[in-house]
Amino acid sequence: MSKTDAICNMCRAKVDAVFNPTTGTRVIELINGQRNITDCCFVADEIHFTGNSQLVFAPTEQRLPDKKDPLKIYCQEYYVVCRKLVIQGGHDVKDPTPCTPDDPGNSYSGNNVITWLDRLTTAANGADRTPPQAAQGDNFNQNVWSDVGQGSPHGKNGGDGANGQPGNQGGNGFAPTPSVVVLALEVDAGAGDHLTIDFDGQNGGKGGKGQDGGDGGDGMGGRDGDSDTTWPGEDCERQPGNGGDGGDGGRGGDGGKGGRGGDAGSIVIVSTPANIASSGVFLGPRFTYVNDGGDGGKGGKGGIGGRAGHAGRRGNKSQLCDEAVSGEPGDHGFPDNFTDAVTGPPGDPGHGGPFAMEPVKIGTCADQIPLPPLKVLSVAPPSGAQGSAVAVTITGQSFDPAATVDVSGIGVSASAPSSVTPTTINCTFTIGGAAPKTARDVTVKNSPSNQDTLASSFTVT
Amino acid sequence: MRSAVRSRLATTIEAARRYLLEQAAGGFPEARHVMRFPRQAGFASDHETQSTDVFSRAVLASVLLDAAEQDRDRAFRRTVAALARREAEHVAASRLRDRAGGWSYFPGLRELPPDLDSLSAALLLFARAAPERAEQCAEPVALALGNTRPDGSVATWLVSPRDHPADRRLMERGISQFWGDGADVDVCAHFFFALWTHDRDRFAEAVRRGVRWVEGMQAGDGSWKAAWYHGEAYAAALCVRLLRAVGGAEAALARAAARLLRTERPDGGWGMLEADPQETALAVWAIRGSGRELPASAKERAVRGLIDSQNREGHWKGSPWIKMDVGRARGGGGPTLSYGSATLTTAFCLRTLVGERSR
Repeated sequence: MSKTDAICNMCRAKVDAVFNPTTGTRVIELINGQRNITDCCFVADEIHFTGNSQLVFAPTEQRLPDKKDPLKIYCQEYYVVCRKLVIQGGHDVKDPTPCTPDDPGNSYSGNNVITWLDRLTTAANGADRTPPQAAQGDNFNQNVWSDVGQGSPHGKNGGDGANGQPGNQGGNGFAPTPSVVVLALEVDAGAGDHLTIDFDGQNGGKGGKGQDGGDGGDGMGGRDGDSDTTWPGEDCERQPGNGGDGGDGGRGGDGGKGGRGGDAGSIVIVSTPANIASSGVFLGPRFTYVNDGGDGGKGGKGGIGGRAGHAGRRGNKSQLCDEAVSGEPGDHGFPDNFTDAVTGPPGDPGHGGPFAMEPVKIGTCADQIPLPPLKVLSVAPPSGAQGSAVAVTITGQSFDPAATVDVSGIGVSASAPSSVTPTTINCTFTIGGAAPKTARDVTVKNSPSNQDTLASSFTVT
Repeated sequence: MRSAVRSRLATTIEAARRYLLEQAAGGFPEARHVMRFPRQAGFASDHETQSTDVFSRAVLASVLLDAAEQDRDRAFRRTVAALARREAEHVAASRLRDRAGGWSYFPGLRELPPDLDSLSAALLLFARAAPERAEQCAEPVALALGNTRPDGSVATWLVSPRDHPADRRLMERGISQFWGDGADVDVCAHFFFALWTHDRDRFAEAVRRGVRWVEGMQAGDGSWKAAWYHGEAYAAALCVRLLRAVGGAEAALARAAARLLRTERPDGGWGMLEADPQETALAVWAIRGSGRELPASAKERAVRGLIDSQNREGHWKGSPWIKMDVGRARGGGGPTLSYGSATLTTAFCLRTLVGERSR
């Protein structure tokens, strides 16, 4: 099915309301700032983008009893339908995927775009791993010996801290990404004016922070040597114990993987064959299309390694006992600092979407979209006396706001129109006193090449 | 001092105070020193096992008074004042009735004479907490000063001609066989400071002579060689306290402070093989006592080290404090018997930390 048919199926009522030859409103829509549209069809005779114009298709929300957050419902395909796109200002996007994970959508501020709402934000970041630090290794009082079944006067070694768990993966881009069809028969854009049509996938969320490694446990203090309390102190009754080694800090967990970027939606341009030709305006520098797949989210920050356990102190020497040695402190878990923390891998990018152009289909509801031919149907009053000024109303169709009026022959001049609608023009005919008393032709000009004349429609009397 | 350290310091001090007051409530049981002096080794006492807490409790009370004097907590000051008075009563009750020298370290050990260090601990505590009890020290002080040597020093052992002849013989045998004779600088510094604190006018001449002797005993490197105490810092603290109180010994004080500052361990703190809380606390106390400033970095390292080494129960592991060279009577060479107490160590640490917090 052609996209023109799809438009007629989905948007017929709106198309008729705007373009019906007799009742159509021919409404002109001026997009100023961000304008969110929840309807699947956005239809106007002219749509004006003025340099800071963001036409954004937004979802409707449905609250479900068992869900905290409302369900977002996008149209599968959005339709932008107009006779003429008027583009002023705007600029090409330097980065074709402007919504980087750390820059959620601000790139279109001060620019012209047609896009969808979730494209302007990233998916949710992955949760940081909780608890923020892994478990500490067996930890002892580094100054005091206690019997925990080690069977010696030496302090027990502190346990190694547990390694940190990786951060949670970032959220994937919203799916499915809607598509867009833009039907415009004319484009009014000057040099340097620009419009971006961005139906790329939502960028993935950033990965969550990895868990910090657990601290190494402190080594236990060695048992004191038993004081030889008997004069003259020739025996060591109990040798002092060595201090236990401190445990190593656990390794910091890697950052979480970034979320997968969403798959892009399709973009279809429907226009006249000339406009979609390789040299046509839609493939020229006035337009940028973005739908190569949402970026994967950035990897989350890695956790840092756990603190090294302190060495247990040696037991006190007494009299003739040997000197005990203190334990060795543990090693700090990798890494020592956030600079060296292992960032999680980035998320995978989404798939690109199709881009297509097709000519507007004849014999459909779109036939109403072009303005009808310029036509002058009547002039009232139909006559005026010599030496008078006559206010006249010209009726017809497809009058341009900048239309001008001419009266044939000599001695009669038409003023600039005081008002113009698509079907009426009001102006004044000034009739000279010597103007020949003859029937005159009245001509309305939308442009030098687009004019219509009603012969003998005004007579000088 | 960094705010994080300062915050932990308050917690550390509070825990140490709590521990010491708990110990005080039970009469400082942990500070009791028990030893065996077997008859087989030549001792004649009825009981081979000897036990004492008089000296350690007298010193403890004085250290706690030092700490309280620097503490802004009025309740703690009042508590310590009452505690010191109670300890003074305990010390007074332990005076030997049958020996003119007053107090013996192990009162039940007949070969062990009363000693100048025990007398000093008693007199200093009486002077500070129970002045009316100082009179008990009159005869022992007179005996000690009567034994003053020409160089101004006073012998450590106090044996009087008025002591019972049989006792005297035992004590003299103990000195010749076990304890050794002579004057010791750490003991004399304690004694002269106690005299100065008790009645500086009355004992001025003896103290000034004693100060000159103590100055003369300072080694070229600024240290004093302790006869009865482990480490360097305790003897330094005793000598510096005396010299600073009496005055006129600036050069010796400067040398002492410089020596202590030089011996700070590279990783902070003081100690022989590794930083030792008691040695660190005493070294910082002695440097301050000399009237010198501790560099901020050294102070921070020392305070942090003390904080880190405190046990969860609020005390520090007891470090060896008193040493007894068994070979002293033969001219030295050991072996060395030691005594240390977590309570004493904790009191030394508390005193230093309170002092550093108040600066």
